[in-house]
Amino acid sequence: MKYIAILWLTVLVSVNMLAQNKQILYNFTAVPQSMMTNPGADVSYKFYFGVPFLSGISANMGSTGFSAYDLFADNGVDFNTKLQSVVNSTTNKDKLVFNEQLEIVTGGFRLGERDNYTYVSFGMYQEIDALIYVPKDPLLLALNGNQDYIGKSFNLGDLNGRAEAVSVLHLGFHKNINEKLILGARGKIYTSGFNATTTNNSGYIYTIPSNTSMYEQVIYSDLQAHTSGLSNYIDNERQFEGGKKALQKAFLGPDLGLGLDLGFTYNPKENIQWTGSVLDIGFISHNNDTKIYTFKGVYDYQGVNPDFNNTSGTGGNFQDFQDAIPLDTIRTKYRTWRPVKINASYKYSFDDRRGGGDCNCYGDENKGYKNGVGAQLYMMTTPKTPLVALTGFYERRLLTNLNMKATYTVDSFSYTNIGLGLAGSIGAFNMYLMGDNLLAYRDLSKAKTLSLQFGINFIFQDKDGE
Amino acid sequence: MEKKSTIRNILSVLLLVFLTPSCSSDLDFNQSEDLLLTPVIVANLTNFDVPAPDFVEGGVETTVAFEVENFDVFRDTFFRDNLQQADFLFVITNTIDRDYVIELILYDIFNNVVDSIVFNIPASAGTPQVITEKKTYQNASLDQLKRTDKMGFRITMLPGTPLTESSAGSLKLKSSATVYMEIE
Repeated sequence: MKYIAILWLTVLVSVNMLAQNKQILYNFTAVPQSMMTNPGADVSYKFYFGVPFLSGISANMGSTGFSAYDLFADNGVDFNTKLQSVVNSTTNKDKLVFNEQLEIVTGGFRLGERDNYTYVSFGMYQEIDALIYVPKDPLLLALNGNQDYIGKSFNLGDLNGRAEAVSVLHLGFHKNINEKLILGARGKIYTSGFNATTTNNSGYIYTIPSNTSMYEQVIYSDLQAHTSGLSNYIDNERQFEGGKKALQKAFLGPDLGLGLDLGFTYNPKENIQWTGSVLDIGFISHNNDTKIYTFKGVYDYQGVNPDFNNTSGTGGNFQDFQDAIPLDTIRTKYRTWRPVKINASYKYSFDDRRGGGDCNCYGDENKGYKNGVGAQLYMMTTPKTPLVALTGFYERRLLTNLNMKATYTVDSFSYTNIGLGLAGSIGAFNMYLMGDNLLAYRDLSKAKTLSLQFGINFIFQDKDGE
Repeated sequence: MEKKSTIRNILSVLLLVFLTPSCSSDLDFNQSEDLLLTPVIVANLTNFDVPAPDFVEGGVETTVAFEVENFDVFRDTFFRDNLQQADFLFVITNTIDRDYVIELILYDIFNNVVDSIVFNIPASAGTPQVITEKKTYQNASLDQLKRTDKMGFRITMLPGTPLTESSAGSLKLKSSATVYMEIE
């Protein structure tokens, strides 16, 4: 039980899963990392490189059903009471997501002139990702038992989640096909340190009144969990010790995969911009230390019933149950698909300041406009319905070397998500900081979603760019 | 000069963002150690339904029936360790015109009797005889119950109006267990 509590805690504290929506970074081309959200982003600095390990640090987490405060508030209410009310107020569609990315190295350079160029960017980042749905029915059963739920069918399909650590080596190109259109693509090689996936579960447990016995009680279970790189912890109940080996595994796991990002920027008019990207079309083949745990079968529990006409005893109910729904372990390879992310945006720019001697020093981004407003759409595949977020944004060049983007985002986590990003440069030194759900900073413990991105780069413009 | 003021501006904006007062209500993650699950589970215990003709074999009455079944739920240490209380509920319906004694005998692995529950069932004179009985195991009696490994059933038919292979009625027993768990 203690392990479950620790696991639960870990999930809550450190897990904000696959939200991964980087609505502030997206198309914020003053920051080179915006190319990671759209390989066809309008970035054309002469060259840039990130400060190793400091160029891109991002973390985000979200919970649709409840906040840390709901469960851990230090308010004298019994923890079990709080847990009960959290479980009562959530559904199996509520989820916890966690994503952390750490850029290890990154860089890029332009081949050719500004009006006809190919841009090359490359790097490596490490990522931990988790997505867990609230297993509502199994939790209800564990908390309360079935006594008050005669007639209810508990859905075992509520058990749904995945978690993984991957490192990504990537190489991207984008090219301005003509004055209006930029196309880009990025190839990725994934290496997976560990993976745990349990997404295709089904089954039920029910208890209903019966004529022959007190109850009709049936368990139908079709549960399975795929894991790689974790058997040592699961089978031997070994604690996670960290250390060099674990670190090595997290950064350069033994399992390989391939992926592709595609994107474009299209300017039908000088002050109108459309962009779009599809990220992580790809898979990872898990071949090392893989295990599939299954829990499959049907058990119709009648009770311990004598048969006076047949005196041979049975094996016993506990034994019958274990025989009917055995826990099997299979060592076999499996493949996981990466969660695919789709971004799209529309931007209208205004307040042309080119006459004023001001310049937009970051890319050709909408030429000399000082302000931009627009909308963005984000979608990500999940084991259940896709995650969708809609963002309205306002961009402004505050100073020659200081750009700002403010966002308002609506998604299943929050309707009041206001974000702010700033990117500033002093010479070649470039720094950015982005945070969302700023209103939640009034009380962080009640926040249901938070994301933060931070990084330092060196960006070199053309001499005439200054 | 202009550059300097730019730097100052950038720094002040970044500082402002960093220093924006943010608060957090007090959280206490240690309270998860208080986690205590208290599920109450109902389940079938045992049931049988013996028709009157089954008490007659070749024209001769069988007055005693006995049967032992394995009862292995307490082999599961998790269940055994977290069980706080068990209630057994029995509903017996007799529609046979004979008195019966039903004995439920619990044995440990050495076939020692752990507990025995006896029901005296009056004969049905046209109307069904329904007996409902509840037995609760707690503390010492629960510890005793946890030793159970087998369950024996003895039905004794007491003297009365003779039965034939076409006699009507049956002796029916339904029972359930309500188990109270406390899981830390």
